[in-house]
Amino acid sequence: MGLHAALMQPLLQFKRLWRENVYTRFVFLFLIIAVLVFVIGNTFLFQATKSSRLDWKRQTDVFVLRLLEEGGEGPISALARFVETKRQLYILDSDYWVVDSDLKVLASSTSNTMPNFYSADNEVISHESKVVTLPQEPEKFIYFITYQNQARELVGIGQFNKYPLYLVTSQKTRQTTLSRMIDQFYNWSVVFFILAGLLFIFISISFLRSRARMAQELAQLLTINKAQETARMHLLKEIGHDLGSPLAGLKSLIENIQDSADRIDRATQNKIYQLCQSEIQYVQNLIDNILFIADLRSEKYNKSVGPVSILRLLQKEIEISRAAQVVDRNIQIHFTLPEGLASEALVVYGDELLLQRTIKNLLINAKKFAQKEIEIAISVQNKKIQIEIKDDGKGFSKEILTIYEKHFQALDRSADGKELGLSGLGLMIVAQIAHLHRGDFSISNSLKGGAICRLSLPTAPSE
Amino acid sequence: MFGLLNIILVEDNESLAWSLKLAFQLEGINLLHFASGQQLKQELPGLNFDLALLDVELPDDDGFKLISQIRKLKPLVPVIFLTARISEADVVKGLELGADDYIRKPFGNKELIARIRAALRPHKPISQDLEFEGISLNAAQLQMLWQGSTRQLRRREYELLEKLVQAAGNILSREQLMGASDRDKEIYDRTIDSHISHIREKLKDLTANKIKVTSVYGVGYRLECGDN
Repeated sequence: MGLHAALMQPLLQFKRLWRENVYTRFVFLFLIIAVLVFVIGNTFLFQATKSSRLDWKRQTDVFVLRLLEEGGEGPISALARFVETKRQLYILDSDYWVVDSDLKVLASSTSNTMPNFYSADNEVISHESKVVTLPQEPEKFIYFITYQNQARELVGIGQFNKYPLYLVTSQKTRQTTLSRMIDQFYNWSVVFFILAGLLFIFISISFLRSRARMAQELAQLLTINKAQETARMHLLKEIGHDLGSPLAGLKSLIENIQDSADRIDRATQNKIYQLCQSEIQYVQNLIDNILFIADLRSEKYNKSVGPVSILRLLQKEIEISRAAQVVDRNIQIHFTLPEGLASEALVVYGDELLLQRTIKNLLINAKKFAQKEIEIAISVQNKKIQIEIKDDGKGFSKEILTIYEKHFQALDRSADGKELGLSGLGLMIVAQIAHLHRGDFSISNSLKGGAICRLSLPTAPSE
Repeated sequence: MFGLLNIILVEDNESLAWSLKLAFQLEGINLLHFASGQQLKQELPGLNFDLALLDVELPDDDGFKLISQIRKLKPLVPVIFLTARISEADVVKGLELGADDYIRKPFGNKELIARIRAALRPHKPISQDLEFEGISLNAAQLQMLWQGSTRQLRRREYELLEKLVQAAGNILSREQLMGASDRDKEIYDRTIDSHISHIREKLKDLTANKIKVTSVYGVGYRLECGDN
């Protein structure tokens, strides 16, 4: 099965590429064409090369003869010059030997070893024998021009001014300039085709990848943007609702004074003023919270970071919470430090004020919704401090849980439509602070129905 | 004029509750305040009141849930929602759950008292014997009669049905159906739709779909005898 999967994997990948991207098809067709060119070229172009061999020989004969005719200078330098002017560069690339009629080497390229030569009838003309039976007695030089490492054969014998000329060459050299150019062009073009094909594959794959990644990133960005937008709208709406309540109180209180000041005694009037103040304070708190959220990422909170004992903060806030009980509600707060959990392990690297605010908000929220008791648990898992605060209230509404889940990365963490200023906004602040500390915050309901808030913060690296 | 009215208020904003209590006291209305839905639920069975004011957003429960419990025990007592929510969806939801009125926070004391009075004003029938195709109305009981059986209507529903019956099959626009207290036109357009849908259900139930309220798109509503 593993093998099958391993075989199928690239196939499936290819199939997917083929289906999804037109470039893949392009490249594939391109490769097929390249292979066809290679095969066809091998079959037909090579034939053409073979058929042009006599032409070549004749030309070479003439060239070499003319060279002899010009005479004057030494044969090697004359040959070299001739080769240079006629641009028969390919001859210079190879090894050559200039021998006399006894096959005695008169001059040669760098190579010292004489190859074996063969006659037109495939007879070996061995230079070792030093004796070659030739149709005529040569009087001057015979040029052997050849390539090393090729099967050699004697391809022709020419004659000029009684001087016989033997031309020895390999199969590879039996080419005209044109056929050689075609050959070279063809060889290079195959290489080019293959390289281009590979390049195309590479480019199209990376293009595909980057496009897919881009699409993904864009989609993510859009989702986040949308979630943030929704969350922002939700938040604005909630803030709007939340302002309504204290304003209703203020309006009603002021109307009482306005309409019935003469019928209200002094003590009642004072009470009205006092309540107006408390409503204004409520609005003030709400605004503070909103501004706090807006300000949370500013630099001023980055300056005062250091190791903070979460345990100390928690204990302090629990103490304050216990002391500040609402008169008609006596809510029990249960908290015990698990045995074996050292307080040194409960240290977070961060801003003390922010972390304090986090814990305070969680406790205020739990206290607000609890019926009788709040349970607080703390533990350390995977270098993360987990704080869980459970209350026995009605829990978060389904709507809020859904919103929270959906816009998990987004701005909004408001917990309840009611009193966002002190609970919903408070929870949002908790989430934002947790994120600032590379931590996490989640809300859920217990089976019994109460709310559970989980705060997770990475422990400070121990020295 | 009212005698001693008993009104209950479920509102978690203590200042607002205290202030309303003072304002109502000056008007001779007795206001009983509950800070949470839970508190009200505990005392609801033994409670006697003429009208309920419910805050929609309560910390432990929402007013939408409370109303159904009040309706079970006191089907005819008017219920008015107080809320800072302004979306039409919320308004319509409240009315569909059987609220009689809906007041947006912040509101004036006088406005609230006026609404309360409107909701409690004894209904003066337009005409003594209103009848349409076999269906007749009983203003004193806020009931409609059909072949010996009756259906209870709520106050606003009765008022609307009364106008429709009086129009005797002619089309009435929303403006014509709207009462004098219905000032917030945008919201009340929808509240009429919501009341009409309640009337429709009750009519369907009572007359086996013989008498219907049909809507004429862009114009209004009319009563129709389903035989044709």
